[in-house]
Amino acid sequence: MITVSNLNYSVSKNFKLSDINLAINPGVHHLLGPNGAGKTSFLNLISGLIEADTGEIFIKNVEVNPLNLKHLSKVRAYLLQNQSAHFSLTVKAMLTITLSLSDQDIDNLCHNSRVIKGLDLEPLLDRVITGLSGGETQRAHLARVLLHCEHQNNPAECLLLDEPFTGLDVAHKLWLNQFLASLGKKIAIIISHHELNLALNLAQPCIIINNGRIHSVLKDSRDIKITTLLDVFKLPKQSLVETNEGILQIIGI
Amino acid sequence: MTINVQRISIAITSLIFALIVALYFGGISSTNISPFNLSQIESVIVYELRLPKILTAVLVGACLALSGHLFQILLSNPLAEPGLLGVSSLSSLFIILGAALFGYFNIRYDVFFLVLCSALGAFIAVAIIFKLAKGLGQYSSAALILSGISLTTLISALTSWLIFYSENEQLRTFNLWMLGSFEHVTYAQIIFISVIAIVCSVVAIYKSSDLNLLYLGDQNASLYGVKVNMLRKYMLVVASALAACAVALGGVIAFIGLLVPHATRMKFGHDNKLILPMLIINGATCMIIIEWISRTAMSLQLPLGLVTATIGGPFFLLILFKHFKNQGL
Repeated sequence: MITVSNLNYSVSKNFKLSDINLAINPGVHHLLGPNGAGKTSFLNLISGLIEADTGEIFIKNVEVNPLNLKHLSKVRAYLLQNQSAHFSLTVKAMLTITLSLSDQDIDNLCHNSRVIKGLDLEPLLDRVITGLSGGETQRAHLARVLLHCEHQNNPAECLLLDEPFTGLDVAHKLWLNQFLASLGKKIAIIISHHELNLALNLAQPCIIINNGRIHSVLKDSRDIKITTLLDVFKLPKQSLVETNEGILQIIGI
Repeated sequence: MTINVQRISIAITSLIFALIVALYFGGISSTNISPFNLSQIESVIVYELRLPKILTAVLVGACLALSGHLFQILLSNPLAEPGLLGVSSLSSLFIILGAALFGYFNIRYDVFFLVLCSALGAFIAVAIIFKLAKGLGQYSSAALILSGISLTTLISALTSWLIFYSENEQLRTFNLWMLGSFEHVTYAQIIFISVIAIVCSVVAIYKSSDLNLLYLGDQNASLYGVKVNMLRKYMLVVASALAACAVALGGVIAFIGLLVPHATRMKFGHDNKLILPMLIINGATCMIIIEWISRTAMSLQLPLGLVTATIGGPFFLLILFKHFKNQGL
């Protein structure tokens, strides 16, 4: 669904993403790595926000390049790590603008969509985004991106999320994981985040990235090795424990 | 939806009401004229003295409101406005310099050259602001506004020097372009400039869905398929051209570009498909009222800039506190 071949990109003089080759099928993929490993740059490249120096990326037969921006915007949805807002737009106005639906369809969506229900957005719909708390803002933007994947006319077929859990409370985190798991049956999802325990818990594919290179790609995140956690994430040995079910967990985070 | 229909009809009704008041009512210091059975003198007053000023007010108001709103979106800055950015003042300085140059070579300074000088000034101002803001780093809100302020300061210094070295007759022209006045406007100017203004408005309305996405920031807009750099470039040209049109007609009139867009967005939301036409209507209404006040409030004609600054100053403070309270910019 997403294929990346021979991707190279210089982020700065001293740091570059190099030789990235990946084929990503439908399913939830965790993109893990320490700060500055190149996760956000990688997602920006796949989304077409920045252009690679060399290499090719395809999302469902659509080549990712600046000429395809309009077409790409239909097939993929991407939640940025930081949102900038300068205007007092309401949550509902944001959804109307980004989903390009009629007022009636939006009203319908706001009352019936499982995304709006799951993220408890109904009370926030008429609030101004700049006046929301951090977690509420995150939920509003999440809804915008997730609704794109459930769009009635042209649903996105690839979902990229950059640190979607930031600011979410536990209940919404749980809901998001369950929702993504069900969405992942149809479309390819890549989530970059730092919730290692979560990844170690869920039997989902994961991509570990370090110093601009793919460190390893695993079919089942429970297979992440202790050495990986020690080398890539620089965790001290005593922070790792194995539960009775044989799952590795990190204590103290 | 029904609320919007109601508000739209209120806006249109106020525009018509303002038009009628401005045409026929004399206020405190001028004579009222009955719209029925105009005598010969009365029809001269209405059609040759008042109507050109009112049409000018419609054009200037619409241009400034649209231009202000576009600058605010394009620079992602709720304080952006052609007056505050220095766009209007450089534009008017170019008109004055143009007048001096054309006078020196004894060439007729007609509308075409007037608009050309004005537009040149506006484009150069925007280019300078961007250069300065880039130098200050990252085109941030504060950088853009501060560049605008420094540009305005420079221009006002230049203008003061010019005034210092000029004769009485020249002083009169300075005053006219710097403080804003609709006294000298002819029907030919109105027609020529309205064509440009209409073209600019149509382009802006045509691009309204792309402009909507800019509310979410450059990166998000580009994720939704907007060619952000190209859109910003073209729209900045449109916004400066609109500001130039307003200046070519009436000189520097500050704060309309701030007051009308904010009030309109407050009442009609943010969707540009609706907002842009409403800005034209509301800008026109607002400017007609201001022109009427300046003409009728006292026995002598008040400079328009004085009236707008009196109303606009406190409004500016209001916006400052609403948007930037505790944010330190």
